[in-house]
Amino acid sequence: MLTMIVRRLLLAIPTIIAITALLFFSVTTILGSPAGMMLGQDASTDAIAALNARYGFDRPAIMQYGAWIAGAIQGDFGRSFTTQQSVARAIADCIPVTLEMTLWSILLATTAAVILNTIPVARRALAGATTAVNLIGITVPNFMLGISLIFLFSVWLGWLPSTGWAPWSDGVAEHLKRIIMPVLTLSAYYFGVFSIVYRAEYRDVAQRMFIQVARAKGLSEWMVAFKHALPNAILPVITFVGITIGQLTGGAVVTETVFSMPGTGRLFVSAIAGHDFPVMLAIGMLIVTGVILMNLLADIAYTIVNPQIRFD
Amino acid sequence: MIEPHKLLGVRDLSVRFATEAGPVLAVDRVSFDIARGETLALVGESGSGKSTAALSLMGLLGAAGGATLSGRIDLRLKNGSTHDINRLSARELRRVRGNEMAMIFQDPMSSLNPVYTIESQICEAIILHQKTAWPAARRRALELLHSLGIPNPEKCMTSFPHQLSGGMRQRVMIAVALSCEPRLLIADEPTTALDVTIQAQIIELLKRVQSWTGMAILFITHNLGLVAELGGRVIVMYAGRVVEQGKVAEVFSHPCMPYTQALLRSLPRLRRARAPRQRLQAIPGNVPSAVDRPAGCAFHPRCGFAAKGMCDTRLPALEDCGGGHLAACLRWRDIASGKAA
Amino acid sequence: MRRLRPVIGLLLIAAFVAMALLASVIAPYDPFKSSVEVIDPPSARHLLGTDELGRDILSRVIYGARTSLIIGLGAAICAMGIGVPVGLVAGYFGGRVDMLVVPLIDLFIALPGLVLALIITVMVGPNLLNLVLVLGFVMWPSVARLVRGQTLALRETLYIEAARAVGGGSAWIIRRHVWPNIMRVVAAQFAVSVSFAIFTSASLSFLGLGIPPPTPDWGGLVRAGFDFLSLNPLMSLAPGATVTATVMGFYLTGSSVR
Repeated sequence: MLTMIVRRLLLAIPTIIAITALLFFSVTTILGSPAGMMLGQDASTDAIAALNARYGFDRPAIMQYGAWIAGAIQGDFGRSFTTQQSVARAIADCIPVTLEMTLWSILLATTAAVILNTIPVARRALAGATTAVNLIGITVPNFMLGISLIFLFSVWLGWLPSTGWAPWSDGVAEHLKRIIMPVLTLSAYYFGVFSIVYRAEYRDVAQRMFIQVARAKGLSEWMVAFKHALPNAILPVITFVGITIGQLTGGAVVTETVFSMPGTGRLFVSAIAGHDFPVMLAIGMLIVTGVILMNLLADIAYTIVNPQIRFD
Repeated sequence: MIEPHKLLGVRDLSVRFATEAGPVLAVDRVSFDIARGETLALVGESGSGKSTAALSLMGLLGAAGGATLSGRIDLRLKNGSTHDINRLSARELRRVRGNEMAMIFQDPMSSLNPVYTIESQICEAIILHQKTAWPAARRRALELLHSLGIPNPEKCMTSFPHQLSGGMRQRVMIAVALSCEPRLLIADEPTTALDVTIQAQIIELLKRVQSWTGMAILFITHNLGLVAELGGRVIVMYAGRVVEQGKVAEVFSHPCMPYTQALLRSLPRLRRARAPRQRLQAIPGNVPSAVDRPAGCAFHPRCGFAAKGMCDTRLPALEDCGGGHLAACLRWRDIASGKAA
Repeated sequence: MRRLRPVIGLLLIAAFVAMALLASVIAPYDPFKSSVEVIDPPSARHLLGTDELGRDILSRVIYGARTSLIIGLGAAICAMGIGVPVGLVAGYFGGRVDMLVVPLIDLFIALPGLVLALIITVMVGPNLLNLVLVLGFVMWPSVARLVRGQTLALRETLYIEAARAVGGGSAWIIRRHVWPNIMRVVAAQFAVSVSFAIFTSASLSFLGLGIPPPTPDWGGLVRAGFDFLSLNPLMSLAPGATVTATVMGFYLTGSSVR
C-alpha cells in the first residue's frame, strides 16, 4: 500500500514535468515571443529585444523552461503579463472561490444521486424522473442552465442577485445568495454523471447473492440498500469525485464566467483571451497536479471502502 | 392450521412469474409438511421450481418482483403460534426471516458482503433479532465459529470474506444462519459450488449441527447422492410439480414415478452387485420450458412408459403407493407390476 | 421510455439536420445583414427579435445549425479517424503498443476536455477548420479506449481464435471478425462524439474563444444575448435551447445502443 503510494507519487513528478514542458514549448514556439504579444503588433524591434532581455525570453527555450519549473517548485510562477501581479498570489486568491463552489456542487450532486438511486421506494417510484434529470444534467450546457437560472430567479422573479461574488465576510446570507445558482448549475452535470454511474453499478450489486442473504437475515429494505448495496456500488463514484475535484478549474470555467465569479476558471479564461502565458501555465500545472493527486487519493479511498482491493 | 408436531405446512403453493414470453407457472400447487427436527430434501433438475419454492418459503420472492404467490405456507413460530408466511406484512416477515427460519445459499463466494468483516456479518442478525448488545453478540458469534470447527475463530472474526476459502465461507454462512437459533434451515444447493471433499465436510457439519440444535433442514439439491447421505424424507420435483415423495430409503429402493427411476439410473454406483455391466442412462430430452409445458403429465414426452390418450391428456395426482410413499403417475401400478412396456 | 429514447433522439437529429441543410430556405432574413432595428423585442417581423447590430436572431439561430453540424460531424470523424485505428491496434496486438497507448489515453481522459480544447485553440487560432481538428484531437482518447476494450474482449473469444487457427492474417481477422462486431458500438460512440463536440464548441464560443464573429454560432449567440437578458431573454435562451436539443438528440441516439 505504502509502496504503491510512493511509486505513484514518483511517477507523478515526470508526468507533471512532461506535460508542463509540452505546454511550455508549444506555447512559445507556436505563439512566438511573449514580448511581441505583450507589446502589440507595432512595437519596435528594440523594445521587444529589451523586454526579451528583461524577462529572459532571449535565452534558449530549454533554459527558460528550467527557470520556470525551478521557480514553480518554490511556488513562484512569475508575474502576469497583463496585470504584472504575482501569478501565485492571483491564483491563491481565486482558489477558495472555485474550491468552495466545486465542493458544494459535488456534495449536493453525490448526495442527491446516491439518495435517489438507493432509497428503496424512491428508486422505483422516481426511476423515470431520475432518468430524465440525469439526461438534463449531462446534456444541458452549463451556460444554458446558468442563464436560465439567472433569467428565472434574477430577471423574472427578482429573488437573487444575478452575478458577482460575496465572500463569507459580507455575511452568510449574502454569501449564500451569490453562490446558490452557481452551485446548482455546476452540480447538475455532476449529478447526471454520478447518478448514471452509480445507478448502473447499483443494479449490478443488487443482483449479487449477499443482497439476498441480507434480506434472508431479516434486514429491512432500507438496511439492505444503505448498509449492504451502497458501499459496494459507490466505488466508481469515488473515482469520478476524485477526478472532478482534481480538475477543479476545468469544471468551473463556464459556470464562473456566466456568474462572473472571481475563481480560477474565469482567471484562466481571461489569461487565455489575453495570451497571459504565465497564468495559463500555472493553472495548467494546477490542473495536471490536481488530477494526478486526486486519482491517487481516489484509489486509496477505494481500498478503505472495499478491503478486497489491495495494491501490492 | 397444522398439526402440533409439524413445523411447516405448505398447501397448494403456486408461484407465477410475469415474463415477456408470458406468464410462467414456476411452482404448481406444491404441498408438503416438515416436522420438527426433520430433514427433507427437495430434488429436481434446474428449472424444476425447487429454488423458487424455497425462496417463497422465506418470503423472498416479493422482493425480486414480478411474482404472484398463492396457497398457504404455515409456520409454527418459537412462541407456539402459527402464521401463514404468504399473509404476513413486510415487517412481520422480517421478524421471521433469519430468526424463525434461516437460509444458506448456493454460492458462498458471493454470499458474503466483501466490505464487512465476518464478525459484523454474523453479529448483524443476532443484534437485529435478539436485541443484544455487541459484546454478547460477539461472544455468541465466536462460540458458533468454534463449534462449526473453524480453526482460530478469533482471527476469522476479523477477516474479510476474500481472505477465506470457499469451504470456510460456507461455514461462516452456516454460522450466520444459525446465529439466531432458527428452527428451520433452508439450504439451497449449499455444496454445489464447493470441492467434493469440502462438500462431504459441509454435509457432515449440517448433520452434526442438526443433532445438537434439533432444527429441521430443508435441503434443496439436484444431487441424489447427497440426498442418500442426508437421509430423512425426499420430495422429487419436475416442471414445478411434486412428482414423488416419501422416505429416502423407500423412494430410492422402490421409485414409483418413471422420472425418479430415470434420475436414479443416471446416477453412477460403485456397488452395483446385481447388474454389474449396466450402463449409466441419461434421460432423453430436456426439462420442458416453463412457458410451454406439455399437456397431461409434464414428463410424458421423455417417458418410456407414456401411454397415448392417457399420459398426454390427464394430469396425474399424487397417489399413495404404500406407507406414505406418494407418486404422481397414472401408470405406476402397471409399471410396478411389470405390465407396462 | 427505453424504446422511446432512440426515437426522440433521431427526431431531434432530423430536425437539426433539416435546419442546417435548409437554412437558406427557412431563414426569413440574411443572417449577416444588419439593419437599423437594433435590439428589437420579438415581433411578427422578427419572431425572436433582432440583435445589437439589427440582425434577425431567428435567421442567425437557423444558420447556427450549419456551424454546429460542420463542427459536430467533422470533429467526430477526426476523433474516429485517430481513435478507431489506435484502439484496434492496441486492443488486438496488445503488448508494447498497448502499454504505451493506455497510460496516454488515461491521462488524456482525466484532463478536462474543455480546458484542453481552450489551450490548443488559442495556440492554433480559432477558425472553423482548427476547431474541428482540435475537438477531434480532444475526443480521440475516449474513442480509442472504447474500441480497445471491445477489441480486447473479442480477441479472447473463441471464434477469433478459430479464425487465427485457419491461418488468417491480422488485417483480415480485424476486418472480417473484429470490425463487424464493434461497428454498432463505434456508431453509437460516433453519435456521442458529435454531441460532445457540439457541446464543447458551444461552450468555447460562449467563453468568447470559439468561432469568431460574425459567423452565426449558437454558443456565441447565447453569449451575445446574455447582456440583453432582461430586454429580450429569447436572444440568449433560443440558441441555448437549440444547442441543448441537438446535444440531447445525439446523446440519446448514441446512448440507446448497448
